[in-house]
Amino acid sequence: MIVEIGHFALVLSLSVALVQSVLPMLGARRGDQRLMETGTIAASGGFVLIAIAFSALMASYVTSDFSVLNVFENSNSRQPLLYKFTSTWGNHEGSMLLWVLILAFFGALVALFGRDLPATLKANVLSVQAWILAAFLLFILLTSNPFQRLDPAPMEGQDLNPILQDVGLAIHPPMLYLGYVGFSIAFSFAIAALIDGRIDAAWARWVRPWTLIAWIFLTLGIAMGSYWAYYELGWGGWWFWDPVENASFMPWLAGTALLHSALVMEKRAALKIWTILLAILTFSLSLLGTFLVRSGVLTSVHAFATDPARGVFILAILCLFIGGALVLFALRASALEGGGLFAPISREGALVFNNLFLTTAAATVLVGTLYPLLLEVVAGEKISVGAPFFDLTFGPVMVPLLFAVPFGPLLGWKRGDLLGAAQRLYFAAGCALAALVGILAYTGGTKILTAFGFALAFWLLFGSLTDLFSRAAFLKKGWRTGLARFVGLPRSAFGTALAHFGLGVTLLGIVSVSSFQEEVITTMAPGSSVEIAGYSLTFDRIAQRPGANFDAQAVHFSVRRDGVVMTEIDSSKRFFPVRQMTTTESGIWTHGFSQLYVSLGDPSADKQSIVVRIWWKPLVTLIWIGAVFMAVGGAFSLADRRLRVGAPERSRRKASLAEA
Amino acid sequence: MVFWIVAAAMTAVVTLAIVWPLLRGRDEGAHAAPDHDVEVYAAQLRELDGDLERGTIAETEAATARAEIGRRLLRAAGRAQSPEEGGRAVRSFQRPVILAAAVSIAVMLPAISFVFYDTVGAPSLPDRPLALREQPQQKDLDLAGLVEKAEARLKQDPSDGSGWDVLAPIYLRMDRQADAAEAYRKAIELNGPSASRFGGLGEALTEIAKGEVTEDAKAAFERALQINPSYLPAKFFLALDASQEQRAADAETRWTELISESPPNAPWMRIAEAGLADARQRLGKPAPATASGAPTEEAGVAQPGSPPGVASGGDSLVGPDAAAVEAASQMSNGDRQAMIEGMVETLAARLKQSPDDVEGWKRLIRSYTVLGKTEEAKAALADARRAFPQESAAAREIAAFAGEIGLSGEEESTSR
Repeated sequence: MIVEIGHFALVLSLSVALVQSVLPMLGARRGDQRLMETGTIAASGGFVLIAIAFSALMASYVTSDFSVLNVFENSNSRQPLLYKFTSTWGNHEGSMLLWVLILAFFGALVALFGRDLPATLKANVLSVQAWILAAFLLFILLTSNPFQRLDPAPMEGQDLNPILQDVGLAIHPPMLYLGYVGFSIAFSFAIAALIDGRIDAAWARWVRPWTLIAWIFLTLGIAMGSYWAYYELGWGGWWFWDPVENASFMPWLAGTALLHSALVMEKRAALKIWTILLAILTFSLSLLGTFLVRSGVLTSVHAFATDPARGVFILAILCLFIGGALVLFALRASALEGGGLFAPISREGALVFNNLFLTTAAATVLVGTLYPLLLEVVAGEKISVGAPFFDLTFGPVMVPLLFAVPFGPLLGWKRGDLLGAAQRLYFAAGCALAALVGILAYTGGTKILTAFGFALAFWLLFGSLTDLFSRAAFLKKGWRTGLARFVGLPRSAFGTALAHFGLGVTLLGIVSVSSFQEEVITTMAPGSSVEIAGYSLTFDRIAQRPGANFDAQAVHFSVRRDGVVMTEIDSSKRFFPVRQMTTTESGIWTHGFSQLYVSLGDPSADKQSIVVRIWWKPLVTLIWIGAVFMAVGGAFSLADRRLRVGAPERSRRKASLAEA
Repeated sequence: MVFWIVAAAMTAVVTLAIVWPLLRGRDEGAHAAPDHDVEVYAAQLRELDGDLERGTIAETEAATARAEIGRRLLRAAGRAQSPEEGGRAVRSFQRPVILAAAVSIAVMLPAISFVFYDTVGAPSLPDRPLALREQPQQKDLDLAGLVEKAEARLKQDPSDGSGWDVLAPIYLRMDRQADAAEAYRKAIELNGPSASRFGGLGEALTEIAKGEVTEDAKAAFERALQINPSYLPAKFFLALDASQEQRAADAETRWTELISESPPNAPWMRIAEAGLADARQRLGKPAPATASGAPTEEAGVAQPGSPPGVASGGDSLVGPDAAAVEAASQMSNGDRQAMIEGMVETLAARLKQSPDDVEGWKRLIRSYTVLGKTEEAKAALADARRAFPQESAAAREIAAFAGEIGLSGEEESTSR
């Protein structure tokens, strides 16, 4: 009965979403308080219903109820409990349900915490949110229903895709979806403003926290996905420019641009129209990502199932929302008021520069992702666009942007002093120069690009901290007063500095791994040793280790430096009999920020030796640590109370009515 | 019943909650948008002072910014005071309109939900969590325990040939085909070749290939026949192979031979007859008299993929599924009939949910005919006709198919 109650709740939530998509907006047009009120209740009620549906599905997974087709196809009674939970979204139907759950969650948050919003704006936002919700609920119920039943129930399920049987599945999809779907709020706000024909003064401020939350989760989600692919796929790479990765990276780039342009809008009421457009584009890219991944256009570990009907349905949703939003934008944008003026060299100017480069970068990725697909459709040719394309196009766009990052926060609003900013950056410039010279000397002048890469990373690291230090005035006022001033700085200043610092940290990791990584691929047998990056790796023994629903073949290595054992590494291959699949479990030893990465290949015919791939990856963890810095920076910015907008007091409203 | 009570309660709560605010009187205390604008601009002015103090904006720029914000503040304040802008709430709907809206929601919301759910849901189907399903099947549980013990022992001593001999057919029955194949190979290696071991290996390989008799499987069956020329299961699969590869003449001889050598109640009889009929049809010969009324390509009830489920869609036309055949061969006659009927019921249930599947309907009708259930076959035919628009290609295909297998064309409204 639990299954069917979940199913019914899902259907009911669709009817609620339909009500919510009409009534509040009608109320907003007429200014009818009662109709607008229904939006709040429908949004919270809809969330509760979808949560019931999701819990019901999860309950079926945990109890291995194979009378549910989805559970039968994607789980197995012998799976460890954690994976029974995570299997819920480790498949197409369940992950779409998670998608709408999060969509409804954000809608409910706006409904419950949006008390300070103007009633009409809130009603419009909730209605737009309900359109998206209704479209995706229909998609789920008509083409990918997770509650489809099986009778009689089979004895055993077909198991979860072994690659997904990892803690990563517990974290990566929910985070990524919180990011993707979070941008829907910015989208709804933009559409609401366009429908209403006016942008409230505080529009950017209301949108900002939502955009920030979405951005934080997307940042962490992408980083988590990257690390997961790194240790699970056993190829030792952390980013493959795979279309699915790009699908999450494009909204991130656009979302980052949105964050920055919203900053200008909230502070100086400039760039309004552009910000609205960016809000639309960011969520459109999220939808596009959903389409690419869910339609089966792409084949990858993420494309759980391919079904043309689903693809067509999502494509229709995509056209409806993106097309509709852009048409609305074209019709209404001219009616919106423009904002404040500023000189080209100014904080505003710097943020425009940022937007220009970030959107160009997003467009580059878009081209690189879609071009092969279009070519295949039109000309039937299969080409693959990989790292070389992106190195040539994405790289050159990012370099000037990264170079300019430290200048931005140092420029004043409206009109900035570039020379003054440059003077304050002398320390960062010195560090960058030192890094340049140091790397050139270390490599004997052979790796000039690497040297510049390191210089840029150090420039970012120290440049982003410069603003904090010069504002605290440690040098001028002594460190005691400086410290007091430092603590007193607004949190958003810390947010900016930390996020930009994180960018530098990531860049440092990328540059270091791509230029100083060492790799050995060799056949090893018990007792043999291999030298890499000053370490000696000895193949001690190979053993069979049965797991809950797999058999593992584990190789035990010991790592020595100058004859002293530094650590021991276990690397294994797991065989999952139900799906007849093998996964690699890389052995990773983290030493400082660097890692020694060992993954197993195929055994030789006589099973006496095995192919072993070993990488030494200097500073590789910085790539993901940088993302964590960025997210923490976002959280700091979110915590800045200065930027909260209070609601007008009721008494004043009454007074003004009386006067009128 | 409990389900319907819960569903009705959920619907009632949600509907009431949404309708509730509509039934209240007018609320005039709301803020119009310009009020909010005034608040925001005032806050911006305060922040500007803070920025100036921290030096993030220069004196002169701060002055222009202050003038800019000030102008906006005045304009917003003006709008807030004016009755038409500030008082948008005045034009709210009249009470009858609101009541009509409330009533239509109270009717439509439950109506849409229940009608939609009725088309997609399966309200009468109870949950089947593993814990519940395992209780009555104590035997299977014991079997799993025994298998685990045997596995553990064989891990200790992999050279125990009789252990592999015992385990191999059990694996095959538990749908662990890869393990079964491995176990048969070990048994052959340790205990020497035998017809049943090679036959079992062939079956396992066939099941791994989802019912297709691969070259390896064929070799195994041929070895089995070399050892014991009258080993019927091997003959069955070799005949199946001939049918699959459409060597019609070869298939005819093999099926005929198999049928003549088998006892009349052999579990593979029906499939053998269908195979023979198919082969003859391909050769242009009349259907054999022995066939139980299905001059068709296959018995058709079985689906590839071991579980008796609806998991696989329309691609289930590769041939009689070895897994099902194998499972059937281990059962008593009554059990086998029950299993086949269970599969047919599953298929029927699935078609009820998603009737848009011509091949599925054909398979269902054919299955009923094979089982001798003419009434059901006719009813299914009527259902299939209803599922497609009259002049559609699918409808024509169904009609042609009905004629082909000799079902009467009249609409029979037998309801099941």
